[in-house]
Amino acid sequence: MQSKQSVKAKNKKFGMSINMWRILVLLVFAFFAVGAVVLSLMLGSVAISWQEILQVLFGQNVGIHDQIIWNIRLPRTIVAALVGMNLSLAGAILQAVMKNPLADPHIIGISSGAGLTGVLIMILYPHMEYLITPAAFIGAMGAAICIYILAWKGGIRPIRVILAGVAVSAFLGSGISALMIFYSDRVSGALMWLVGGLSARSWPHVEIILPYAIAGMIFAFLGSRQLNILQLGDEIARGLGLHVEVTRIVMTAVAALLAASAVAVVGLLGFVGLIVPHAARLIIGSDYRFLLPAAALLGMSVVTISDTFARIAFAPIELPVGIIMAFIGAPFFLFLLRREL
Amino acid sequence: MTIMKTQDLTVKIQHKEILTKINLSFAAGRTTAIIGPNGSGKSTLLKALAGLNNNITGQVLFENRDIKEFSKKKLARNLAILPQDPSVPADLTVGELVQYGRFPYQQWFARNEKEDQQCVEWAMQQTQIEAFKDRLVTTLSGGERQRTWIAMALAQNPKVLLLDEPTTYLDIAHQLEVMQIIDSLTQKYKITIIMVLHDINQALQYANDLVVIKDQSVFAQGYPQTVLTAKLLENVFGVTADFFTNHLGNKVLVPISLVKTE
Repeated sequence: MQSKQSVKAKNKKFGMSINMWRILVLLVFAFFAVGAVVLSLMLGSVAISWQEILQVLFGQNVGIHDQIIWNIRLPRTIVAALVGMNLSLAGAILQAVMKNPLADPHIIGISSGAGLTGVLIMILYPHMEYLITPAAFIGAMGAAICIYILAWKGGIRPIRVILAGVAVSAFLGSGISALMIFYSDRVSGALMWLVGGLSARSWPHVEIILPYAIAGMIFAFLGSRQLNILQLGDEIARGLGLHVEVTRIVMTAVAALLAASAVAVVGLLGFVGLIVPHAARLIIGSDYRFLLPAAALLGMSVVTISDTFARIAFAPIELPVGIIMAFIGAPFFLFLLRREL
Repeated sequence: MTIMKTQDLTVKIQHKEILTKINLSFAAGRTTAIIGPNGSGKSTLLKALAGLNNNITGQVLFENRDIKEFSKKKLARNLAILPQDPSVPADLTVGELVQYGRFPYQQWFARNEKEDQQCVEWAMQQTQIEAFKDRLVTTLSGGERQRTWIAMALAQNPKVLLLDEPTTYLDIAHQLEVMQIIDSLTQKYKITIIMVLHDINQALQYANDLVVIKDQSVFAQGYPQTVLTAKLLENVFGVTADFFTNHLGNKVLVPISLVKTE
């Protein structure tokens, strides 16, 4: 916190207001996101220069690289960026709604709820892919409600939310594993899905996630002032005229929708919703009007870059991006646990 | 003139009656102190007055209208409440926190930024916190933090300010500082203050009216200097006490011992 103080003091010296500084940070994050996307398009088993990428994107190049970019790398990169955005926004929202610095759709079991119903659709109605996200949303919402009921005891306490989440997550997770073992023939790439991976993600997956990503993002941004007030605690929020219960339910639903659409395309990708909002918070502060766009942009960069790394680091073996995220995320979780609770 | 009133107000929390049939009226532009033993329902009364508790029977009236008829935001433009010991996110500055007091005036796309700004500045002036408006709330001392919260409540531009033990955890100098600020709000701006107080001497010194709560109901009410007697302290708190008159002519209380129960 001390460093933040000095950052603010410095801003005063340069005659820059805190909001100017935040807008500057957002621009830098946007630059990162664009950079991450370009890198992801360039790197892979075949290296493609950025000049060539520009030509391809503007339709001036027809050749094998054109095929690689349009059919393989571009859709996968879009999915990575949207998944990163959705999970980061969901994490940031849940942290305010559950008054819990450790809230993340994966840790508290919302992703498992989405996963269970998502997998059910994959097994029972494999040809109705468009049903996966709505079903996952219902599962995610169901898990969120379970966690609230289990954690509620005359109010919400952060530690109870986490413990209830761990229990719900383990319970639903075992259901997912059982389904995948019984119907291993019908769930392709089950292992990849359990840790969260972007392998072979293409345009159909973009279609699955895109509408929900846009809708979720709009609702999240519309709720940013309400989330700010919610952070002050229930009593203060009520005293300021906020409909606390309504805000909580609506914003949980928005977070569940964002997480569910991500789970529907990449599986149980963890820790993004934990690491990214916190990193953004350290740099830009807890004002949700700025925190949400910052988390969205940073989430895009982090997942896109991690996936690029997962593709090329051990080539020709491709790691699921979930392994990279867990590798960075688990120690980060412990760090937060020591600092915040 | 009466600004707030309760009619047969009964409050339950988890099926337990905390307050039973409270009938009170609060005069506009005056300071009312609520005192009573721990667990007597003082804070519950304050929250019920602010409309924070939905599980009530009877009525709470603001300017002769049931507060349930008000929208939440409209109520927050008239009544501001400061609960005991609120917590803040780690990276919020004083100025930002005070600005959140303008939330009841802001719609999604319509807001009057100039008026918001004026109100925030006025609130910070009244509580003398302008000097550290860019500091983080978490780095402030107890007294400074309490003034910041009061400023946030003032930014709501309320007619009635409800405070729950505003001086608890503060040293004597900061207690006086906070009480003087509160006092000046009634003197200068005719804001009605209703506050729960722990310190009976503060009630004697600063309150125009006194409400004594015991066993879920109103035990006594009236002018503090006359209501507060040795007998009342014995009955309500189980404490024997002496009263003196200080050099300003005010009554001052000194507790002596617990009443022996045979």
